[in-house]
Amino acid sequence: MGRYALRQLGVLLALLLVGSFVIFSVVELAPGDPISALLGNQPPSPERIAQLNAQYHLDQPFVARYFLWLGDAVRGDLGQSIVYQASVTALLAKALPISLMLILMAEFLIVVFGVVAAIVSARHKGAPDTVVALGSSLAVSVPVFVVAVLFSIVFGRVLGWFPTVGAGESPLDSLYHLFLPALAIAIGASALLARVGRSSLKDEMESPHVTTEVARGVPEGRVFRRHVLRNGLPPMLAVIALQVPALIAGTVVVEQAFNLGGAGTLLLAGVNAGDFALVQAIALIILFVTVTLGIAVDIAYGLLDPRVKVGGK
Amino acid sequence: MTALLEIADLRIQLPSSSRAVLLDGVSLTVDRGETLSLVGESGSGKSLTVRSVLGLLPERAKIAGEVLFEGRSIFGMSAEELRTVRRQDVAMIFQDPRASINPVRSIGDYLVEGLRTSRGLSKGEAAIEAEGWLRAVGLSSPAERLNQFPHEISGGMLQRVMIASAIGSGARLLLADEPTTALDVSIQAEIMGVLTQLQQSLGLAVVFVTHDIDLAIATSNRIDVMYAGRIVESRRAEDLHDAPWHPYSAALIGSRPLVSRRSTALRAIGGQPATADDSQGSCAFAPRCLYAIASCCDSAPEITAGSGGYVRCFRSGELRAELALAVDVPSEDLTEPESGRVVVEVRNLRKTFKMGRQGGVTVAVDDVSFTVDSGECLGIVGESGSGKTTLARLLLGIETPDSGSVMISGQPRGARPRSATQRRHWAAQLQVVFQDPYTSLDPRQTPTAAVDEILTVNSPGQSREWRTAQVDRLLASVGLEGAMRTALPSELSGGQRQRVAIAKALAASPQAIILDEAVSGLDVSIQAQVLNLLAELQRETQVTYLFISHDLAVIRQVAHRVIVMKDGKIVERGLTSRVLDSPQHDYTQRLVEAAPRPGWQPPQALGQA
Repeated sequence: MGRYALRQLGVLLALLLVGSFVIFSVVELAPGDPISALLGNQPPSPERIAQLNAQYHLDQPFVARYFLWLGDAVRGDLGQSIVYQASVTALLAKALPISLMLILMAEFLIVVFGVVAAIVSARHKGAPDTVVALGSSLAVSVPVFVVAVLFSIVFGRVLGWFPTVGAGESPLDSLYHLFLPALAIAIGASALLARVGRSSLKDEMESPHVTTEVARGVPEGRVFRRHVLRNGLPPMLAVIALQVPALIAGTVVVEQAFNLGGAGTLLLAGVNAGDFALVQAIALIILFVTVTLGIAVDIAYGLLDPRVKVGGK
Repeated sequence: MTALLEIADLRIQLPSSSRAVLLDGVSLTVDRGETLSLVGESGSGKSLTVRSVLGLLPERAKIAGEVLFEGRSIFGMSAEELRTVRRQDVAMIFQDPRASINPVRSIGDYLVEGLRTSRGLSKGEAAIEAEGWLRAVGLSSPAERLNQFPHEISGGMLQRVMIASAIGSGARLLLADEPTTALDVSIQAEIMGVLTQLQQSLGLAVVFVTHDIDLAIATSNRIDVMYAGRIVESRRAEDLHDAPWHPYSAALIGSRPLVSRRSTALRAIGGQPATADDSQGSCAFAPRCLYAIASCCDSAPEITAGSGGYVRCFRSGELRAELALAVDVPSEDLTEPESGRVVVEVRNLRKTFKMGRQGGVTVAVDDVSFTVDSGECLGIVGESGSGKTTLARLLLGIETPDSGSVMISGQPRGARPRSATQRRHWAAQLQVVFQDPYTSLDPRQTPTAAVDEILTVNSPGQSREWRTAQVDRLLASVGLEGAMRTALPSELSGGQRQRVAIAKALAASPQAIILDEAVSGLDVSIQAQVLNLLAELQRETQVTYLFISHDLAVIRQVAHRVIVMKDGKIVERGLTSRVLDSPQHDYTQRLVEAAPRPGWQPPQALGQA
């Protein structure tokens, strides 16, 4: 296991290195002159341009700039935001917790809804199964922004149950403020999880080893917990992990709809203004989260299924 | 005293319209300590019959009749009472141990869960008991086995684990549903040895489901022969083999090949197995029966009792002598064909595979040399892992050998051919028919289209009329007529699909055909049809066969010469009759002894695995 973890760590670092280079290149090579973006409304004096060139290492070759940027990023310096005229690190320190909490809440709701719906429809043929099948078809097909606006109007303005603007002041207040946005993100994603889980559990229920347990007189509930649920888990885990990038995209939309001021809002502003430091930083964080999660799922697979050789090929 | 198990006039019907009747009045009894075998081809209802004892029935099935365990009705029980029967009274083992034991839980987990549910033991007690039961079924180092996972041990060992759990429950009745069908023949013999020994020492009653009539005769007291959801004959095991009363039993016995002698021609049963559904109000076997008369189709025959058994046949009384003669199939060994032209020549072939990251190497094929002449059939025999499939892949050019050469019609088979001409050239040399016709045919292609496609590819420039005529000829030569030619594979039976696969192989007019376990998945009556067909095609076209099989009886039937493979090496070779009648190598001897045949007994010593 130790060797395996070490190798996975190596894979993780390699993926981060390649990914960060791609992020850096794409933003750098995007059309638009960084100097004019940096200058904004200032008069373009040669001294100012020279100063900016030095400050942003624009006088260095491309590859050197990448490593300078990466070195700074590792040390926690993500550069200066042009739009906000502030250090990106400081901006993210404020915005990131909001987005993270939003994603975690959404993920929690996805898992609860998705797994419960999958279990209900796998165990109860007939009406409950049909309800889950129809409900999930509907939920999968409605885009996040529609759900967000709908929820904002119905639960926020009409019913007045939840606030529709801002991320709250205290942690408890945030929980209250972020519930509706998180729910908006979770609806579609949990529907997908429910569908995959439903078919995975049904396959497992029909497998011969489950018949063996029933034939041995193991009670139905126990068979389901120990042999169906456990064996049917890996596909669900894969869906949860694969959905994370979509989830992040979802937060960008929902943060706008509920005016939350999280990292998604920063990203949008950064992209619109050609604020490359900000965009690169957020893209780097998304990359880190996605790659780490992917490897965590690989390790979880090995723990759930002994046939997946940990450390083998 | 009531019987241990009594099934009385059991009828099981599905609510849907097609194939609705699954069991049609099955009655049987099993006494304490007795072994009853249910024998029949796929779809005869034998598996469903044993499952009904545990109440494992298809959903929404309509059930009539009774299943009584020690006089108590299984169908009348509450869920809890039924669970108690499943836990303590009746245990079941299944065909494929690999699929029937949860792969993500350890062997200890599997046994402990069983012992705890059946006997209410604590975790600690159950773990100690589990070890003892593993020893009882002949597994070496049982303590370590408990921590292993199913994928870490062989299928034969895993079947022993399932048996350990079944007998550990303290059950008085064991239901064994084809417990050795997925295993190699030598493992089958060991497992049957373990089963019979435990059965005798524990006084267990066993209901044994099998398609192998020799295995049934060797291991049971009584045999019920099933066809289309009914028991057509019930006899003492020792009586059945030489004097069957039902034409179907006689046909089953006459259609299976033997290791001990080669039948001049297998008595294949024509047509396809019937279902209980399409034979309501008539004898289900009548359409395939050589002895059918008009009244067989007018009503279903009732039971005719005789000494030590019964039969459902209108003509059983008058047919007894004739059927006794029918099962005495004349035998004749194959004589070597005269041609002498070498078609396939393999010299010092070697292929290794790297295993894992540690750089371990498995030698799959090790210094293998042989030749096959035109019009000859070479049998390639071996158990799983012997290297016979790798050998086939090397011949086909799917794998590249490490060293050694394959010559086909005098030309070296090199790397995979690139150009269309080259591919056509090799296609006309060597074709292959695989074991599973369900997966080796394109599910969207009719037999006509499939054969036509091969002709288009391999004989470009020929007219459509020529192709149509060829398709007709080829499909006729494998016995596919009428609507079958335009049916999709899903509408064809296993035997019919295998005929399509053979027609496809022939369409390239190859010098040689590799038959890789080509009849292993078929019922005996259909297997006999296909084996007879292959022999006939060879006589007509002088095509060469390389027949890969684990089944020595099949090899005896078709092969002129045989090579026996073990761990990638040829351990014995020679004329089939010589090798099987007086095997020289230990391994060949073991294989021959393990094959069930009349008078065979499973080995009694508990083999350690």
